[in-house]
Amino acid sequence: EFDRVRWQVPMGFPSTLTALGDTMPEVSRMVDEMSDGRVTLQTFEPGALIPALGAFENVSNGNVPAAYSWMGYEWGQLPVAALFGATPFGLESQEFLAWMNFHGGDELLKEAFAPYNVYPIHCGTISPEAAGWFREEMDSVDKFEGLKFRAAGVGGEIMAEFGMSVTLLPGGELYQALETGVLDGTEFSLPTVDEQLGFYQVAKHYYLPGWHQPSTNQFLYVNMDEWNGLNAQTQALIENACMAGNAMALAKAEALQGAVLESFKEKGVTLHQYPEDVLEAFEEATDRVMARRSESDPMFAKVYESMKAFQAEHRTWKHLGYLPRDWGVED
Amino acid sequence: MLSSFILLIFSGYPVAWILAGISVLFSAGSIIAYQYFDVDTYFLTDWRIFGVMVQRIYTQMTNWVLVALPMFIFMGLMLERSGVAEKLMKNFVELFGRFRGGLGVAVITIGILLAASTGIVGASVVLLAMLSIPTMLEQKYSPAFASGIVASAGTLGILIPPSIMLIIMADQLSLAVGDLFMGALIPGVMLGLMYIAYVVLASIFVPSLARPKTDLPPISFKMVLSTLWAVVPSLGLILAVLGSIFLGIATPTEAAGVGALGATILAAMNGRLNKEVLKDVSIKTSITTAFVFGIFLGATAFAVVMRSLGGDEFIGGMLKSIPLSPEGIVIVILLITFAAGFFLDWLEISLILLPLVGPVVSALGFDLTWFVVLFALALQTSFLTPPVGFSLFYLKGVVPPSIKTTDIYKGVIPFILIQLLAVAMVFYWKDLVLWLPGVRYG
Amino acid sequence: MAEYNVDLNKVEEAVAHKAAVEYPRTLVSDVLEGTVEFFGKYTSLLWIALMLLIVANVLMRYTLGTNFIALEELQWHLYAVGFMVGLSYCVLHDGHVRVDVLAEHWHPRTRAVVEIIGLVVLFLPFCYFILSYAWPFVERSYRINEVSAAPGGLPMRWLIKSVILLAFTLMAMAAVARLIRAFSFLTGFPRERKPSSK
Ligand code: NA
Ligand code: NA
Repeated sequence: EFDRVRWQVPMGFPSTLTALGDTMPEVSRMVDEMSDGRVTLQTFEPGALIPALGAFENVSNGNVPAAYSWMGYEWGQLPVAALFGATPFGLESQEFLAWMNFHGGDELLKEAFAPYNVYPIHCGTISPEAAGWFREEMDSVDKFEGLKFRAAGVGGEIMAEFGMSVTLLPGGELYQALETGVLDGTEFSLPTVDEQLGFYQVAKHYYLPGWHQPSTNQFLYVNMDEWNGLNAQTQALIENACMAGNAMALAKAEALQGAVLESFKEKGVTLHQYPEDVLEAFEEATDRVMARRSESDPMFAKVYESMKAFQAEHRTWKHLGYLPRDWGVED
Repeated sequence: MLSSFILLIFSGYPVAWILAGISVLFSAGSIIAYQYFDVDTYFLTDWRIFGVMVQRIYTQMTNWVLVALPMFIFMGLMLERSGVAEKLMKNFVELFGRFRGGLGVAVITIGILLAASTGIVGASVVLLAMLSIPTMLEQKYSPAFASGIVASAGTLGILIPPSIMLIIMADQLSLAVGDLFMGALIPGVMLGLMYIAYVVLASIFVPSLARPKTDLPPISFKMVLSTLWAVVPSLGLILAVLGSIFLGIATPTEAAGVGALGATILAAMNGRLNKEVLKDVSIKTSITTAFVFGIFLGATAFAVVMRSLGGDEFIGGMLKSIPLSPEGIVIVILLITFAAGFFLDWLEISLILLPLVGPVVSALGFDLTWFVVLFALALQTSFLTPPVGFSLFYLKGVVPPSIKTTDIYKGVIPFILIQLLAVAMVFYWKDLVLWLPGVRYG
Repeated sequence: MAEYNVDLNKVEEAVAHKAAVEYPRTLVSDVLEGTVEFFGKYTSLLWIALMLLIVANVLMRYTLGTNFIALEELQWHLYAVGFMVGLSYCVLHDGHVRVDVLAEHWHPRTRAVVEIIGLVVLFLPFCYFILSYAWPFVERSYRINEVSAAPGGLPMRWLIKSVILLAFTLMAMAAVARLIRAFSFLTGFPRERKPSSK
């Protein structure tokens, strides 16, 4: 018998954003259906209860039983969280799932959050984000100097290494900031999501790949006391629904990007892939930032090392086991 | 909850704290009902809801979109101190006082020009009343006509951008402030022109309403020049502020900060700026900002409690179940807004009602910018509708005793009708709102 | 030719829209109100600072082509302190909007009773609950050493978060002062303090 559960679950993204924001509503529908209405996880749009960026804090304080967000937003409060949200030059979605479930990632996650009285559940992973929208072409590393850019999470700190001036504006304000030149560029999310926010009207250069965010992982934060109060069956229900959510989000995110990129071209946007030297410079900066952070934060170091160890082990397979990335897609 | 609010509001206790207090009382009631009487109270089962409120207060503090608000308030207060209004009045009366209804037209024009006072409606109404009511009565304007003109001209500022009302609405629905400013500009100026048209027509057809001034010297070139000289600086300031937003040179916050400085410089040019004025304007800015945010806090507490008790679903479901076309539903919402305006002020309505109806309207497939301007127009009437109409309150406080409350009520009726006509026009010609933001984005 | 010189103090008076009943001053209320007044008066000057800061940021954006995150964050820090502390100042000067169409016809004593009930039943409980939940909110931020989520942003988030504590404490002080004064008006206790030579 499932517990009778009725939780308010505020979200960090509006449910209108494809794959980013519509996963949790879908998970809560699944939970509702499978429990025949006994377990209600009622989602709330960002701001309806708590602000978009307040998920972790409020679950931790016990103000809400659970909340749904992207962990990169916790950079100011719990830096290690950002690694789980997305790691620059880190794990892609399927690699992240592999690491989480079969290489100790999930245990580290629970360990990192236990002191904050939070039980996080991986509940949605999506394809790489784009590197960003720029008003000008970014053909060399020098061009980043002094650039006003919006970025979240670890990525932001790395871009700051290039002399970029990095802010974390909320999604809704980006359009105008870009238009007025308060920003020279911004990243936000997947091409489909970026399309919904209309950036293509005010910035005509779109850069890929999302080196700073090879996968984007969302989590359902559950207050530890609430979680421990559930019986095993109810816990399993929620965890399994989230696992289904992972598959669904990934499928949806992968399904839609190609068409959107094509439509950007029609709207006069130039699609760029960063040249190798730029990517290398970014990677170097990433190493610097990660080393610095690892020094001062042991938990951060532990998680990052575990990820890197998995990447190293996985490398041969990734290199030999797949067709080369540009196989058959050359223009 | 809503009805207890409307009842309590008449106790004369500050609106902000009534909202806040009701949220405490209802929380207490729900928690007791849940814990001791096993009543289903939806999500409201313990005091932790106040943790959520603290978080929401903090969100208000970090909401950088709203930084523009105190700056526009500062700018408005400074403009009032700058002596611009007195100068305009003197020149306009000299120039237009000789025509039928000319005085009234002058007052409304000043109302439009002062619209940069961004919705400190109280101050605009009082200032306009003190400037013009004695002169109008001297010219044998009917008391009702004169007070209607002042009350409505004083409220124009809340609609014509820059406007704190629009900033708050944009914030509530995550719209771009610039879009709303551009969207409201044409309807706002149109409304001002409709007021003017009414005043002119009324004084032509009912000469007893307003008599022209006869003791004026003939129009001279110098007079025109001096009028222009009075108009140009303030008009220039407003155009610069709006223009920089429109052209994408500055964000609303930047425009507000620069505008505030501009108004300060204007005051200095008129010889009105000194340490006292600066200090005074700052303190008034604090108080005005605080009263807006007091209601913000009250409304945020109120909204969280209502939402946790399932109020959102209830109202959303109710609106969607109205057996009408999408247009019909929007009309119903506007009627509710208009009706709510009799008892509540624009701020509470924007903070409580708008977040509830916004998603519904958007789900019906309407453009939210268009809807918000429509909503703002309907709301603006709340200043003019008794019993709770702030323009009326303020006006009553400063008019000579020869003008009775009934005169004021009678006087605003035509303006309320004009207001409704404007709502209808915007409803049918969406382009009145959408054309200008459209031009901007090409 | 008529001159159009308006006495702005009269404008203020008309706009202020006060509760209209003057309550007597007492010793304790004077001390409380003095504190609120002090904070309110000086934080008001932040608006001028904010104005200059915004203009400076704009100038820097156009002349140097760059912006400083810390200075931009400072904008909303100033705004937050300004309006939060302003709330209590507004209570003190009775600037919060009242709807007194009915109330203005009531007897001053009735109004004082309403005022007391409002303070005790509505306003003070709200302050109490906010304060009791704001404390762990600030304490947690301090404990985890929260900083701005933006690189180059301001450190010590607990400092700005504790403005909630300050603001609501000041508000509660202003409310208690009002309560004492309204009570003194009704019962004569605590004793009225004659305004000293001022
Ligand atoms: Na205005
Ligand atoms: Na009204």
